[in-house]
Amino acid sequence: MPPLEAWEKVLVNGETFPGTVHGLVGCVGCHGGTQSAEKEVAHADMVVNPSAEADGVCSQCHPHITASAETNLHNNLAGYWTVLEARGASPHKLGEAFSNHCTSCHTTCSDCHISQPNSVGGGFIDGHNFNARPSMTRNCTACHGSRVGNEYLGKHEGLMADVHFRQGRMDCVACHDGDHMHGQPQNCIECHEGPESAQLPPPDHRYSGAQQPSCEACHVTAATKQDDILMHKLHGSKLSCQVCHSISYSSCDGCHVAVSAETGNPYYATEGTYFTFLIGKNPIQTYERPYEYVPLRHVPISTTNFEYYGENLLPEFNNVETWKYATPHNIQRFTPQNQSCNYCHGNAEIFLTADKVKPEELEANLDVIVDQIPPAILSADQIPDVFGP
Amino acid sequence: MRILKTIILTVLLLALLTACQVEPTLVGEPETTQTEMATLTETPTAAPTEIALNPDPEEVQSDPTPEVVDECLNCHIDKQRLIDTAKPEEEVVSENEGEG
Repeated sequence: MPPLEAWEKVLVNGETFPGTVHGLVGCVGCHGGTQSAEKEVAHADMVVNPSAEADGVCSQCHPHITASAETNLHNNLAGYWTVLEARGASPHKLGEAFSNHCTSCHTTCSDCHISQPNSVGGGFIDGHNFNARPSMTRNCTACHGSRVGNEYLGKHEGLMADVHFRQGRMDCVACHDGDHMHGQPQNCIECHEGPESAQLPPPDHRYSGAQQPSCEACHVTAATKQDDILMHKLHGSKLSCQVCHSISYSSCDGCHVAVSAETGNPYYATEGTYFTFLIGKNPIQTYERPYEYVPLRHVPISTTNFEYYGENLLPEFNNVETWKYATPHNIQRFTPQNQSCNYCHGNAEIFLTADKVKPEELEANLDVIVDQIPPAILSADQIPDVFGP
Repeated sequence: MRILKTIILTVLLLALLTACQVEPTLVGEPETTQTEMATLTETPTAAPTEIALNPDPEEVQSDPTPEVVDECLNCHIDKQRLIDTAKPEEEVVSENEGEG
């Protein structure tokens, strides 16, 4: 996505915006500053992003939404600290690195509803009109582009776009609705009355708590084995949906971060990106995610990611797997896996076995490595008669 | 004599009836409420000279209210002005390598 010109980033649509509810508030009402024809005077003490603090001006009219901002992962980035601290990182030692390289992912109200995120240069999307529904390509995949965006939109050569986009033309919000994005789990608890819901802690990771969204919420007959598809009846919740309905997705190795000696700007360098489709043991098997097998994606972590900032900053590196629970966004109705039993059964190629893991990461991945490949199906007699009388 | 008595009695009777009669000007006059009284009291009576100066109330011009000028919008809806006043952006060459 090409960056906007400087003027384009701040050009207000004079025909539509002033008459909107937010337009009637007036510029100074949210941004402060001074009414003056002189730019320097007008911009003195101006607040560029009034939504930077969620309990600021937005909360005056939208308190029911901003109330959950504190626990919203887009806002508090708690997901990062959950895995970093699990690997032994201390905020004291890693604070500078986090500030330089991770906080750019912090998302404010306006990053979804008014402007493009700063990570792609910022700028109004629609002349400062507020979009209740964020733009898929200019908001969501502006940040979630290299993996989710490219997979969902079919930008990888030879890999088809997700069927929800290809045939359903569904945007991100079609599944990830406002309640999910704003971190308001109370709506989920109404249906998901599981034991974990009794005392639901604030989410500390994107896969914590109820699945938001879940495939099963729409594909009810598959989830309840009420369709005529043999594999749904046989495998049930033993496999996550993506095991049978995803195709190859990208994995990454070591993302090394540093500050440029030349420019003083933070930068990163990843060791490599490659396509994988590997089934492994579910590292976060819970009531909400009961699957025994899931696709695993290698995340760009290594013991030396933060070595620019100090030695051994991830002292408990092996506490967390490097092949992580994944939900690739490239769902297909038909995949090689669901065309024959023996594409998976007896086929070690598509399972995460020890030989596919770097020796220095073996210990971290012991819980997800598949030791015994499910045996090949040699005869129809081996298939239980699930349709029985 | 009898005729004289009749005349006197008739005159007295008429005098009595006249005394009991309600004052004709008050009959049928609507009661005036306090609100209406207040309105009437407060309604300014135009002096004849003023009426002559402004014969048509429709043409009375109220004091012009100064239009609120939004300086922020004036500038930010003006593409050319934004181009002219934009601070040149430093081109930041990304030093990142690989996918983020």
